[in-house]
Amino acid sequence: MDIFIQQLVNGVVLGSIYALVALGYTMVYGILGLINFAHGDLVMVGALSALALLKVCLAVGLGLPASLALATLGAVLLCGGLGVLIERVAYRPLRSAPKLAPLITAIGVSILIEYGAAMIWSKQYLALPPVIQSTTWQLAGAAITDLQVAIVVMASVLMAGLLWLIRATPLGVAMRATEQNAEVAGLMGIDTHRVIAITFLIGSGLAALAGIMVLLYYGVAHYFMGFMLGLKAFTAAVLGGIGSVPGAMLGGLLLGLIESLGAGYVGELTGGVFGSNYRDVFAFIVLILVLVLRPAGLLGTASGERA
Amino acid sequence: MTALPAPDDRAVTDSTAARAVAAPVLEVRDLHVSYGGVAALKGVDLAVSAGARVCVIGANGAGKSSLLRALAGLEPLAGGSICWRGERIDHLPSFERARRGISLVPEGRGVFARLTVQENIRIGGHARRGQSMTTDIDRVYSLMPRLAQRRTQLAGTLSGGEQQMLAIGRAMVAAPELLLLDEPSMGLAPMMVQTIFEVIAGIAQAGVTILLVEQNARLALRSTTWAWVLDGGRVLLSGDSSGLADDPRVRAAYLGD
Ligand SMILES: Nc1ncnc2c1ncn2[C@@H]1O[C@H](COP(=O)(O)OP(=O)(O)OP(=O)(O)O)[C@@H](O)[C@H]1O
Ligand SMILES: [Mg+2]
Repeated sequence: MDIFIQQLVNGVVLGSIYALVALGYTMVYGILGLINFAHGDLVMVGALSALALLKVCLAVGLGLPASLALATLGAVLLCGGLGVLIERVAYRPLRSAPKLAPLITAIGVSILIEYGAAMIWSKQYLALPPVIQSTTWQLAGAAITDLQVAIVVMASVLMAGLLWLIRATPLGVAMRATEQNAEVAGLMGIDTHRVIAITFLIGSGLAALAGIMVLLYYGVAHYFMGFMLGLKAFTAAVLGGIGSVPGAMLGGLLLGLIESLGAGYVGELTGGVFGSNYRDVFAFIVLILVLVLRPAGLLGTASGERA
Repeated sequence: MTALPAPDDRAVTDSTAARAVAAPVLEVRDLHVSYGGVAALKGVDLAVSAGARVCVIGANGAGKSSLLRALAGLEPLAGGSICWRGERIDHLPSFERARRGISLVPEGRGVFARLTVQENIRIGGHARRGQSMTTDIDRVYSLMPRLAQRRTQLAGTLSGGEQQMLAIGRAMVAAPELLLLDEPSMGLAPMMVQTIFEVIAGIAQAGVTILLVEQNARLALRSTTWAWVLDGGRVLLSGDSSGLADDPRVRAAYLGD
């Protein structure tokens, strides 16, 4: 019972992070029909740049809250700018090319970012300085830290804000219109290139925030960390129905739960043959099952092109 | 560069220059559009004065939609020029042309199926950069109460006629100076066609310049004062609409007499 509740808590935290990253995949897919493989790497850039900024801020004697705020701001701006730049340079020129071209470009961009980061930050695991003291509470037999609560609250606020933006603001309507029919959106006076750039800006900013959460939660960052995280978030987006914003949120949360519970019980279920180090397997089992059984995902539209 | 030599039969139209009145707001010269090397428009000239009601008729594939799409910025030109209120606009993207007052109601309506009626209508306001659009929205709903009753319905669930109303209402909210309409009567029952054309007449009365493209030549000639007949990407004839309606060639080829 204790393990169950503990893994439930861990799963919600992990799922919140997956959901934030999955949103970037799903929004770009919705508007361009492109799987932006470089998206996971922006999470890594967010984590590593925030770590670097945090160290600088602390070194010049700023307090922890101010340093964290500045590092977060800097990382979000950097990733947002990088996302917009990638779209402008690598994807926009291929807008009317066959779909395979931008996909291959995306893989290229991903590799470029990873090795660019390795050159800047080395290939070492970089540790967060031990400045964050988290408080642990006991709840129904499970341990919950204030950091975990902060991550879940923060992610929820961001997602609620995004839903409001998409549902209720003129920009959100312009985004949905561009997604449905970019040509007619242009006829309505909507600058669709700008709408697409803003979509990348938002997705990349969320990726940076997710990267900072990972950094704070696990205490390390690494030039290759975006690869696996990106694949899992992509899985979450497919699970929820790629192209669907609420789907990405749901898929992220579910994937976090499946992975945590799976990791918590895999040893028991397999008589110790497989340990919790097999946790990454669960995401891909989910991906395969979804693709086979329900390719449109949980909340996706059932049109053949999706997924 | 790819401008074709002017064909002889253009002389017919050049002399009249297909102008409804002096001081045109829209001037199209030697317009060429082609799709992967296949020419759809082969040197079209037309001029439209402010507040005029004009139409382009022609058979399937004559190039009518290509003409409107080129004017709205959806097709690149293979040659020629488009001047709108004295400014060359042929290199501007479609959204810039919309913000300069050119609105196209496209063939097939192009409503946003997964937006509500209300959202579709409000989106027209993107073209007008800030000015309040509430009076225009009210006007759309009072002219077309069927839309008002369906404000919160998804546009994809509307009937064809209602979608055509929505497409026109959306264009009205953009407060255009030039309204381009591509076959607004397509696929509609006579009653609905009448309603739609009453709305269009109302828009024209408010001073909006109307360029109408129609398969239904009789209806088009009746609703306008000047017309061009397009054939194989070229202007075959032009003249005032009532005159063309009596022209034996037009009667034989397009009015089925
Ligand atoms: N996207 C396209 N790609 C290739 N050819 C095209 C394209 N659009 C139009 N054409 C061709 O250009 C020519 C003119 O087409 P257009 O749609 O302008 O005709 P239209 O007068 O509007 O016809 P209709 O009355 O059937 O709507 C046609 O021969 C058509 O096949
Ligand atoms: Mg047509």
